[in-house]
Amino acid sequence: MTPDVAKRIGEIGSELGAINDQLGNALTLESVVQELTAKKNALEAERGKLTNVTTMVLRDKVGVKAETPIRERGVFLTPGETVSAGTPACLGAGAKKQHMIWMDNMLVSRDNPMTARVQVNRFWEQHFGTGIVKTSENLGTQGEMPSNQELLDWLSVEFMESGWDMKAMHRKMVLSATYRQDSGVTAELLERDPDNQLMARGPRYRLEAEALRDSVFAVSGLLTQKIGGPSVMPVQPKGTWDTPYSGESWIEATGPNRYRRSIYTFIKRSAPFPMMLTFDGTSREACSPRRIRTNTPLQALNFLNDPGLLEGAIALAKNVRGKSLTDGMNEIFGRCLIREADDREIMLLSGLFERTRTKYAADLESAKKLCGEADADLAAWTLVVNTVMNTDEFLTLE
Amino acid sequence: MDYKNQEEALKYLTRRALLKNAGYGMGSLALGSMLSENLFAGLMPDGQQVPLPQPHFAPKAKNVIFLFMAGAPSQLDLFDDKPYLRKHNGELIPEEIVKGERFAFIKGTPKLLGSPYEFTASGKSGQMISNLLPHTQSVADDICIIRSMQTDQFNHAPAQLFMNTGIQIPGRPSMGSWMTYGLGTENRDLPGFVVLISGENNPDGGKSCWSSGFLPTQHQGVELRSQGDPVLYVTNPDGMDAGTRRDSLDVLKELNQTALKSKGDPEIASRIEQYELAYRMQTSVPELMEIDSEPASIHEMYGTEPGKKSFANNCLLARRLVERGCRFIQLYHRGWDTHGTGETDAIDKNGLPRRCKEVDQASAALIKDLKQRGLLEDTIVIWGGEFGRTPMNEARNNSPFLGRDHHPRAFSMWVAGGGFAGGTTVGATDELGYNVVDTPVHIHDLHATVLNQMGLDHTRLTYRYQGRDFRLTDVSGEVIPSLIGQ
Repeated sequence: MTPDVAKRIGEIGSELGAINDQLGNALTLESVVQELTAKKNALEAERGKLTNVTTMVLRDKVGVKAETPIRERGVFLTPGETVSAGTPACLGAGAKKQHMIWMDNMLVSRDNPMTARVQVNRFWEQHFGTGIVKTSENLGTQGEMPSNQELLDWLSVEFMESGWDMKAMHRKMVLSATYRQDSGVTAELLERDPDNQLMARGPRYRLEAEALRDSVFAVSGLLTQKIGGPSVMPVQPKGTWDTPYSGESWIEATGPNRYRRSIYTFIKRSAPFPMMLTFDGTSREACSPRRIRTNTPLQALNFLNDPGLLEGAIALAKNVRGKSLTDGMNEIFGRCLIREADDREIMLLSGLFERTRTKYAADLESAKKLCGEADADLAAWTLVVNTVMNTDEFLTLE
Repeated sequence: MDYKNQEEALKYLTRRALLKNAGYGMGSLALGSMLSENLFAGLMPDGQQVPLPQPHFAPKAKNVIFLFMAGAPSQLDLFDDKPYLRKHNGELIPEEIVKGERFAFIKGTPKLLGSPYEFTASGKSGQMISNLLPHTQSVADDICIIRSMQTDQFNHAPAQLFMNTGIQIPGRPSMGSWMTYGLGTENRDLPGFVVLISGENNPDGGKSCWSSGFLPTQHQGVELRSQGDPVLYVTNPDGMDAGTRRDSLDVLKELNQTALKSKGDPEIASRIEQYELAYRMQTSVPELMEIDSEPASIHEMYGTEPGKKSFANNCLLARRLVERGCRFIQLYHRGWDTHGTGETDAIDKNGLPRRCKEVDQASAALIKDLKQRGLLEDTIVIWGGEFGRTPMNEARNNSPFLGRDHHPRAFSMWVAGGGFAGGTTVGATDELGYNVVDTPVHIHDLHATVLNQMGLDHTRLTYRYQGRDFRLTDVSGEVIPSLIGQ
């Protein structure tokens, strides 16, 4: 891609951002909507053409047969015996010639319960926080025993019989009475089943790094819903990417790319995105089939003070500015916690709002620094949202 | 050792308590891992602080400071004096030595390069140290020089990873992570594994050098940055003062406490504690970074320049961290890659001498300062890079500047404090300095010995991952008795 094209794509991105803003504010003006929509379509079409670059694919060299030697002790300079592909002897007599298709068939064979078990166990882990087999990376002899073998097997069979329908399996899990239970726990229950392996209560666990960041932008209305496309560079602390022999730099996205889902965040293994690392995202250097969930002060600092996440709080604050305290609080609670605030919460947060607003009213300069506008109301709402976004309830799936 | 603490720990080590608290642990039933899971963190379900994990046997040292000279300093110009090289300077190296050898840059048969620098028998011990390091000479009796270090890697990034994690591939936990995993950290208001960077840039191995690999992420090294926030996000957002933050945290605490009452999940109690810790870090970190508060004599001793990014500042910070109970502190100072392609990366001219000047005084000051405070006996200080440099002149493209290529077969490091044998030189190389001929100390051996001094058996400090138990020393490593005066 030439710099000109890249520049043009950037321009289109910002123009589209502006149009989307206008569209958001102009829903009643039919003509404006039509005009802007036409312009938007034209721009998107142009961008589509520009970004449609040819992808190079690998191709076998004619007449060259690849040989695969064993590398002695893993060193690429010491080739050993030449080997050919095949199935591990321990799997029994597989078709020697068509080993790949044999392997594929074996994996999804109705007689092989393993694949389905592994898969449904991961789904379960995704929704309940812990798999039926806790060591989801290992269901073999080195792993743990399932907490409920019958359940695991039933789900596996259901999964196979549905034609390996993933969506149906997810639906089955989240609509189950087990999943929908209250996640509260009594001291007695905690003593008897600290891990909730018996499922006497609903799941309760801190969201993973990506989901946390996405939630902030989702509830504040900033999240860009677009699917697919190249990775993006949202806000990260300066200096994260300083490495020797590398001219690469982190060019902070403006417009919609700033608020895309975290799975689109650019990942460089030697300089990972700090928030992901802090929230157990791992640096992705080694395979990490299961993340270990930690609870640290660095996470608290990150969620309290990250300027990137604060943009979410400010956006939501703008939404409630001008509302009565009760309405504002209910709006914030509705978006962040999917419930209304109770009297005590309204009292506590209104107190915080009033005290903060008084402070910022006497120091509009600071208000501007915090939320971009010399508006004590907005600054105070921003702090309220920031506080709600740091509650255990917001950080936790329950 | 704190017996009360040990008793606390034992209480949790009973089978019943283990099973009861397993909800707080991870998949692995490894005892150590369960205890350290919520470290620099946590509360047990009953609201008690998680006790520190206990060492395998009585430790000699409590803390480690690793002064990592990224880029690989030339041992032949600093710690391994070779009169033979000087005598035969400029002669071709005997071909049988370099036959089949691979170098990073050297091609053909290179010429020997005698050190242009004099060495002095220093201190009472008479250890031979280069005149490029006059301050290091003054602590000769406190440092144990290892002339027989060996590594498997001869490129910077993999070799730095090897020195830090015991393997050249990214993704394994670094030494500091293993330490906090095995021992915890004594100051819960500060991270237990801290990284400080000065010199040209970050090390070639990147943040993988202080990665926690497959260990829980709270064991990763936390970078104390010299610009911006010292610890990421420790500063309140622009326009928010400490009082406002405290106010919001008080409200937050009330909200979380209500949730704790209605939900009963002990993780909420832990969350409340983490937010309080975070608030305390907002005070403890800036207080730590305030080296201005040190007396003038200390600044003079280290050669510090407050407000600047320098190795000396970081050495002083390292001492302040040790005083505050931080377990593992690693300094990186990059720029030792003296190939001699120009004036600034030469063994002579403005290359090696300048680098030495940047670190010599502060490295020695750190030893002296720790010693005068009685901290050196508890603190292991390690100095060195990822590999050594060749006895031959690199002469890349007929460069007129003196330079040495990468050399993994033999290099020098020094270690002080924590029971290491000060005033001794361990190991020896042949007359060219090409191969080790006495007491080889592989990186795995150094790791094993350092862990040993910290009260950890390197074969027992394990973590189960992908079906097997991993350790810092992989499947090798021996404690080297002569390093610790045995």
